[in-house]
Order: sequence, then C-alpha cells, then structure tokens
Amino acid sequence: MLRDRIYFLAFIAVLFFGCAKEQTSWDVNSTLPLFKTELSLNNVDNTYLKPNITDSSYLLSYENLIYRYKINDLQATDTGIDAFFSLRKLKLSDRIIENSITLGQINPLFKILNGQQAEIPAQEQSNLTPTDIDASAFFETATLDTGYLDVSIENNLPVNISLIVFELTNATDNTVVASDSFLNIPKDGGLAKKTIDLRGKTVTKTLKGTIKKLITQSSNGLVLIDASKGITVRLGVRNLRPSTAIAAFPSQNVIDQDEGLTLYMGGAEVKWFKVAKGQLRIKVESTIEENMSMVLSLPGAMKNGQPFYQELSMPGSVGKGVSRTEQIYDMTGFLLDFRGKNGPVKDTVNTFHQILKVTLDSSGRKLAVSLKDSIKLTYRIEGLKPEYAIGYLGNSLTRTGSMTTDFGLFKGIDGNVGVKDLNVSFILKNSIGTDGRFKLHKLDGENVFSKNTLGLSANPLMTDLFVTSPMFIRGDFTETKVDLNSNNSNIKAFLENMPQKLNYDLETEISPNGNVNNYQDFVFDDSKLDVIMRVDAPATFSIGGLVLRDTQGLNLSDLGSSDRIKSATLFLEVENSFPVDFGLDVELLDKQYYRLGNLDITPQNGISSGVVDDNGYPLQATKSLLVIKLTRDKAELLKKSGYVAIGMKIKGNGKMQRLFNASKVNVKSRIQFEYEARN
Amino acid sequence: MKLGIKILLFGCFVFSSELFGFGSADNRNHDSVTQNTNLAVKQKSILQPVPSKSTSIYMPVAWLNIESGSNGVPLSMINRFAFGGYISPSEMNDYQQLLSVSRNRMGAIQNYGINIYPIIGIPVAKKLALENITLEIDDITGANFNQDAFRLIFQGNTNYLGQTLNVGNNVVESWRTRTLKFHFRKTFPKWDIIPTVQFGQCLNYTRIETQDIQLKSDAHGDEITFQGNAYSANSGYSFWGNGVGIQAGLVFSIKNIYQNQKNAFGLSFGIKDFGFYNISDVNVISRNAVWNADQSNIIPEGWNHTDPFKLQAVQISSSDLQFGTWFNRQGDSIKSKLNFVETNRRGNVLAPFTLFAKLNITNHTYVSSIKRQEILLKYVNVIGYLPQLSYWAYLKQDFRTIKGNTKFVLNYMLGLSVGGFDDINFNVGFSSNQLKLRNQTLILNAKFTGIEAYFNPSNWHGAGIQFELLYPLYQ
Repeated sequence: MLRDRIYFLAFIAVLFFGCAKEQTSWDVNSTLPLFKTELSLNNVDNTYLKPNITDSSYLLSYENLIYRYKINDLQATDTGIDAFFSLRKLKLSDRIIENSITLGQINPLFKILNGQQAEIPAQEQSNLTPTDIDASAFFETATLDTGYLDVSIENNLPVNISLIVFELTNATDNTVVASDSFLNIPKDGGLAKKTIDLRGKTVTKTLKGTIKKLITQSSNGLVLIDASKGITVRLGVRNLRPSTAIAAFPSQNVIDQDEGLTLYMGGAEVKWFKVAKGQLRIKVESTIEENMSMVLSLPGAMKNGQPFYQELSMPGSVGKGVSRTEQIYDMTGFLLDFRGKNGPVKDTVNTFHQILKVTLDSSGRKLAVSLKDSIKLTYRIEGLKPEYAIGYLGNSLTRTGSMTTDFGLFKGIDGNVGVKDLNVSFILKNSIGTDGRFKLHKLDGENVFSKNTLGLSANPLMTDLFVTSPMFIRGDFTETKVDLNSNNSNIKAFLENMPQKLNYDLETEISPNGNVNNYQDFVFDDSKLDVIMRVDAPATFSIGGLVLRDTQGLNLSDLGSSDRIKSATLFLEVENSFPVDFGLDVELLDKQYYRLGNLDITPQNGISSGVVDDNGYPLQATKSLLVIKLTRDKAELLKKSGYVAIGMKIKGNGKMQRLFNASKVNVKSRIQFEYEARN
Repeated sequence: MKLGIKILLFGCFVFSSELFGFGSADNRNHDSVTQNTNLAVKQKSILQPVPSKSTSIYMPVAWLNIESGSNGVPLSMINRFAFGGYISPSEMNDYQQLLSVSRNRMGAIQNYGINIYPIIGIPVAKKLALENITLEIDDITGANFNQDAFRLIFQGNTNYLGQTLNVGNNVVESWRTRTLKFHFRKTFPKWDIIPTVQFGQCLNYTRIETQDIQLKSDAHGDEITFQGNAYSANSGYSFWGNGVGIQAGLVFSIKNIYQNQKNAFGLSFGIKDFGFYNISDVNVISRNAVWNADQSNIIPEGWNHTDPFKLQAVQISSSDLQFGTWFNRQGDSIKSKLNFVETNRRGNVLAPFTLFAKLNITNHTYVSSIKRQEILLKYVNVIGYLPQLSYWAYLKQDFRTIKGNTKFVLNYMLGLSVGGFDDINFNVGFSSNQLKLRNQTLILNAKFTGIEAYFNPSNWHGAGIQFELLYPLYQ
C-alpha cells in the first residue's frame, strides 16, 4: 500500500514538476541597411588642407600646439561678511513722561484758599497719594540690560522744598523701579535732576510715582495760593536696551557699513576687474517679527554707466518662526574698481567699496523679543571670475620639466613619406597683456611605430625668446616666429621620422622685469601663450606603404540578445576615385588593448584606385565590394572587444601625387546577420 | 499530404482488416479475463473502450493526449515546436514551400493529467455525485498565418531581397494552464448528466496579432519599407501562475437512443472547459494599437492608420564614422520608426473550450470484429482549429502463437478524421489489458492519429498520440 502511494506521488511529481520543454530554435537571416558616407579631403579640417584655387589641389598647412601657458585661475576668492545681531543691539525709544502733583493734591486745604493771599507754614508730609504714570507708550514690559531713568523735579510751589523723596514703582506688583531724594529745590520753578541706572530692572507700562516724603519751608509772609500749581515730575528714559521686552521697537539701523572689502587674488595686484562670471549672495535670517529693509550699494561697480545699487525688503518672522530671505545678484558684466573706497585717492588694489545698510522698520506694534532673538546676515561675493583684469599680474616662472604631447600630423600613420618644399616655423603666440620670456630646453620627436626618437636641433631655439604684450583687445595677440629650415636645423629629418609624440622641456616667464608697466598689465579669460609648430607644404607626397591607423572604442554590450547572433556579414560597397589603392585591416583588441584577432575581409587586395588623368585628376571611380564575415567565433570576439584597430594601407606607386578635392570615397554598407530565434 | 493518398491509405487499412479475417466469426472465442475486463469498463475513458456489463467502473488514472496539425506545416516542424529542437535553414525553406500563400493553420493541443480522487488503493465505499477529481496541464497553441508571415518570422528577409513580403493579418495564441477539475455525475435511468467545475491557473499566455503588415526589401538590402500594425501580449511563464480562472462543463449522455438487432446507439453531447482566466501583469508591446485607458484589456480595441516608413542607410559624416555606433544608431532608428509602445496590462480572456457531439454504435451480436463505432463532431475554440469530424471503429481479434496454443487477444482501432488543425488524418490505436496493479487489470489505451505523417514527417502534416491508463476505481 505504502509503496503504491510513493509510486503514485512520484508519478505526480514527475508529471507536473519535472516536465521542462526544450526550446525550439531556428535561424532568422535578415539584411538591414547600416550607413553610408562620403569621404573626401574636404572633410579634413581646412586648418590642415587649404584649397589651392588655381588648380583645385591642396596646400597642406598644419599647426600643432606643443604647449599652452595660462595664468593660473585669476579668480577672486569668495569673500563676504557674516553679521549677527542679538536683541542686545536693538534699542527702545528714548521717551519723557511728565506728571504733576499740585498743591491741592499735597494738601486739600489749599484748594479752599485757592486765589487768596495766605502765609504757608513749613510742612512735612509723608506718603502722599501715589500718582499713576502711564508708560504704555514705551513698552508693555521690559527687563533692561542697560538703560537710564532721568528724574527731574520742578518746584512750582510758592515755597522752597527742603527735601523730596520720590519713588517709582510698578503698579502691578509694587516693585520699586527707582527711588531717590532731592534736596533744596527753590520755589517758583526751581529744578532738581537725578539719573537712575535701570540695569536689571523690570519696568511695566503702569507705574506709580509716590512722594514718600516732602519737607517744605514756610513762606516769606503772604503768598498767593494757586492750588493748581505744584510739583512737576519728569521721567525720561534713554538708552534702553532690553534683555526681554514686549515693546514697540523704533526704526533703527541694525547694520551700517561703508568701507572697502579686500579680495585675495592669488598674488596678482588688480586695479580693475571686469566680471565674466560671479554673484553676490545676501541671506538674512531673522526671528524678529518686524520687517527689515536693506540697501546695498557698490559705488565702484559699474555696468552700463550705472553703479550697483539694490534695495531689498525682508519680511519679519511670523510668531516664533524664522524669516529667511535670500537674494542672489548676478555680477556678470560689472566693471569693479578695485582701488578701494575713494579709489582715485586711496588707489589701493584688490579692494572694492561697498555700502550696506540694514534697517529694522518699525510697525508700531508691541512685539515680544528676548536675547534669544537675532538677525543673521550673510553677504558674500562668490565665484568671481574676470572677463579681464588690469593691474600687475606678478612675476611667475614656469618650467614644464619633461612632458609629452601628441603630434597630430602623423597620427596613426606609418610607412615612408617623402616631403617636398617644406616650411616649418616655431611660433610663440601671446595674448596675455604683459611681456614674457620663453626658452626651449628640449624637443624630441618619437615615432611610436618604429620606436625611433630624434631630437630637434635648431640654433634659433637655443637662446631666450621674448614675447611682447598685445593690444588691450580681446583676441589680439603678438606672434614671435622662428623659421626652421635645413640650414639652421635638422627639421626635415625630424619630420620624415614621422613623429606621433613630441617630448619637450621648456620654460615660460611672465613679467620677467617686474611691474615695469605700472599696473597696466592685463589678462583676458582666454589669454594664453601658445607654443606652436607650423608646417606649410603643397599636398604633394610620394607614398609607399603608408598606413593610416586608428583605434576606436567599441561597445556592443548594449546590443539586445547579441548572444543569439550566430553570424553576421558586413558588406561595404566602396566607390573610390583617389589615385591610390587602399588595403583594409581590422584588428580586434580587448579593453586592455591586447590583440584578440583580425576580421576576415575579402577580397584581400582591398579597395581599387580610381581612374585619373596624367595630372592625378580623378576621371572615374572604381567600385569594390568588401565583405567582412563575422562567424560565431568572430562575433564572440567582437562582443569581448573594447577597441578595434583599423589599418588602412595606402598603396602608392612611388611617384609624387597631387591630391584634388574631386577625389572621394563613397561607402555604403549593409549588414546581414543570422539570428537564433527561440520559442 | 494529398487528400487522395490519405483516403487510399485509410481504405487499405480497413479492407486489409477484413482481408486478414479480423472480423470473422471463427475468432469469437473470447478470453474470459479480457472479455470481462472489457465489459466492465464504463463509458468514462477518453478513448471509449468497449462497453461493460459488470459493476466495476474503469476510469482513467493518468493520460497524455497530443493533437497537432496543420494544413501546410509538416509534422516534423510541429514536433519541434511541441518537443523542442533546432530547425535548420534548409528545413525551414522546405517547409515554407509546402504552405499555401494566404491561408495556413497550425496548432497543437497537449493535455496530460492524473486522477487524484479516488486514489488507487484507497477504496471508496460508495460512489458519490462527485465522481472524481483530476489535475491536468494543457499546452495549447493555435495560429492562422500566411506564407509570407512564415517566411519573415522563420527565415528573415535575406532570402527575399528584391521582393515584398505581404505578411498581412496573422494571429497566434498560446496557453499553458493547470486545472483542478471536479467531475460530477447524476445518473438517470436513460441518461446521465455530467457537470464539471474546474479551477485553473494560467501559467503562460501569449497572443500575437498583426494587421496589414508589408515588408519590402530592395535587391541590395539598401532600403526596407515597412508598414502595418502589430501587438504582442505575453504574460511570461510562472510556475505559480500569472492568472486564475474558473470554468465549467456540462455533458449529457443518452445511453440508448435507438437499438436494432445488431447495434445500440448512444449519444453524448455537451461543452467542456467553458469559462475565463483573469491574467495580470501581461507585457504588451504594440504598434498603432488602440487600447482602453484603464489597462484592463489585453486585446486592443482597434488600430490606428499609419503610413509606411522606409529604413535606409544612416547618412553619417566622416567624423561619425566610428565602428560600433552604426548598429546602435540604426537600431535607434528602427525603434523610433517602429514606435513600439510597451505597457503592462491585465484582463479577462476566454478559456479554450470544447463543443462536441458523439454517437456511439455498439454491436451486441458478438459476431462482428467491429465491436463499437464512434462518430465524433468536435470543435475546440482555438485559433486555427476547424470543426473536426472523426470516425473510429473499435475492433477485436484473437491470435494464436505458432508454437503451442497460447491465445492473444488484440483490441485495436481504426479511424479517420477530417478537420481540426489538419485537413484529413488516418488514425490507429490499440488497447491492452495485460497490465496488472494490485490484482486488478490496468487497461492501456493508445491511439495514433495522422499516422501517415509519421512515415513522412518532413512533407506530411498532422499527427497526434493519446495514451491513457484505466483502472477500476469504483468496484
């Protein structure tokens, strides 16, 4: 029984879980057009090949940049101001409150005698009825970090006051704000003053003024009793800076700067700076509920005849939040006077004059503030790059040491070339607005295929070469030219070595004689000193086994399901009207440039030459069909390849050939591939 | 395969059976076991063994049915699609020559399953209304296509440079499903009603349809002109299924609609597997198809009109002449011009269902070697499937070995069918009761349809096999 069930379960398992159907596959053979192109010498940069108008042949004119010197990053270092303002720097208004205590209030008896002549005896009274003093115009409440209360008492009584003790208390809790004694105040307008330090005191809007003690002298005989006159108390507060307050803050400046700001210019001493790129960033963070306004003026920054001037309104915070305002001003196009504040007089360098004023705009509302409240202002000049700068650029000496650069004229070319009527020049092309010096220590040409290196020996290059400053015009340059020929150098042998690399060692010096131009040097953002080798020759060559080589990156990894491509055939239909045959060789290299194999190209004799007349002018193109078969193993190689090295061998007949712009190669291609389809 | 040759083959088989005396009265001495076994089988088997008189109810416990066919594609190619393998370009070229220009059908239905209730060895005391439960897997593929579509899909355009491939309208649909079926039976004196309820998983679903596609390649492959629309919906295979469905079936079986002295006539008819699957996360790639906005359908509502586009060599400048970029640029160009839109959709699709009517003619005279005849009219709702009419003759013959008198009884079948995926097929089969399991006779039925194609699979088309094991689950 058990065995039957095991068999049964095994049968189910095999039936339902073990049945994996093999895939059906077949080959789909498809043909697709790929690309077509026309290659002629017109495609070559006319820097190299210039049409000869007389007979439509070409002149070879080739320049190779050997070295380029630029003044290193003449750029202003980001500079700015960070300002932080706490409540300690905010102040409340100075105010004066006047309050009077009349004779009638001092003693109601005088109300009866009002208007009569009477003799007033000496009196001494204590704790007169307090008088309410309304300070709500100042604040609701304030605990003062600093501040002063000026108390002045004016005696309008007809008798002298010997002593008056005055006390100021908060009505809400009777805490004493101030208390002081005043002695001997003459009658009929006599005045006594005292200043009370309010540091640490808390003052509320409702105050009570109490005359704690009043001693008056007797009158000299009869005097007119005027019950409405009495003692006038004036309370003046000043320099109130609260630590906490609920108050109406007056409008006031929180920052007020008018000074020069110096930038670091990397050693250069700049008088004028035209901004190519850069910005001015202002950021304000405030916890105070009042709005603020800012005025920024850069009198020495001019654009279109106008100085830089900006006004900015910054809203106050809401509740206990933080209000943030950030504004970025593009400085592009501004010409900055770097001579500082009052430049024509002060005439310093790397400094610009800036005026910054930030004002707290009072709304009259009573706001709660404390020492925790703050206003933070950040003001920065960022990424300031010059379109040009004028000043003294500094003396700098640069020696390259042994360096290598490409020489493009013979890039990818191997074989034998005879050159005819060759002119070679060494050119120092300077667009930096200062004098300079150049010296060549070494120049070797290296043929990477033959591994042959030949040094240039040229007497004119053995000594220092001096360059002069161009005109103050963008793009203007001076050219210092040294011609090389067979008489003064080995230049012919140097070039027939067909170097693809140049190894050099040279030095350049800017302002070799210091600030002789008195801050009149200049530099544009594209100013440079180029060291150039120029070759001029008619495009007439004798070519024997010349091979044009190129190595190009190859990435077939993103071809979908490329593993199913079983084979492919690339057809190249070529029409050639050049007077030379071309042989084609395609080598596959891996990502480390190791050779993986060659592609099989038929026919092996490559592309046939066109039919030309006796002068080499093309008459008729010749058609060739090149077939590149990519079998499955080659296709595998293709997928592994990181590069293809294409060698195009030009088979010359040994004669000097002229090249015409009617010569061209037309290439049309299609691909046929076998793709393994699966079901 | 030519119709005349098939008819000739069928005629040869039928007449040869009579010629060699398979139907003579001298061979009516039945082996008792065999006779008893055969008689005990009740009408449940797909292959319909001979009728029974005893109480044992033989039911299929495991089976495999493969039905394939085409009116043009030969058997060898369909076999590769059914069982896998590589088809060489030369074979493919031979195949395409066999097709008609415009109307070709091809398809295959593979069904295999087991009975999971009742289980062998676990006796069931009383037969319930729930007669049995089966677990089945179906692989169904059907296609309507023309010759040029075949050429483009299976060969590519290289062989047809300078020609226009009128691919036109084609459709291919493919299913793989796993179903758990509950078979009920209600027996009445003169007829039975057999309902089925089944729950299915759609393991894989694919539908590809083209509309008015035309591809013209110039003689050198320098220019290709393409027009037309297409879409492909593919759920991908998932063992746990990409969708679920529910289906039902209802079969009426009338045991005896007519009887004469020689034969009794029984009739059954009904519908099977009618229902739907809800399939989700179907990857749909389409060109110019009109879809509803809520992603809830995997068959487009219509097509937009588009103008043909030309694929030509990319004009590049010498500075762009870099190896490796040609492929990508041309590939991007093709993608852009084809403008295929890829989305994920869901939807309900009608499950492949079957309509059938079957007439059983049972000979009860014991004098003829033809014990039973069956005429079956069947339609399966699969693309490429035409209504199929089949005739089967069930025969029985006794043999004696040359040495000794050991008797061997051969039960075999001959048949002819017209329609389905194919046009006409000649069919044979046999039944064996020589296997034993737990002291019970295990009946093996085997049928081979379209056997002419087995002899020449590279040229003739349409074939199928059916195997089933029957066991007396109810006794």
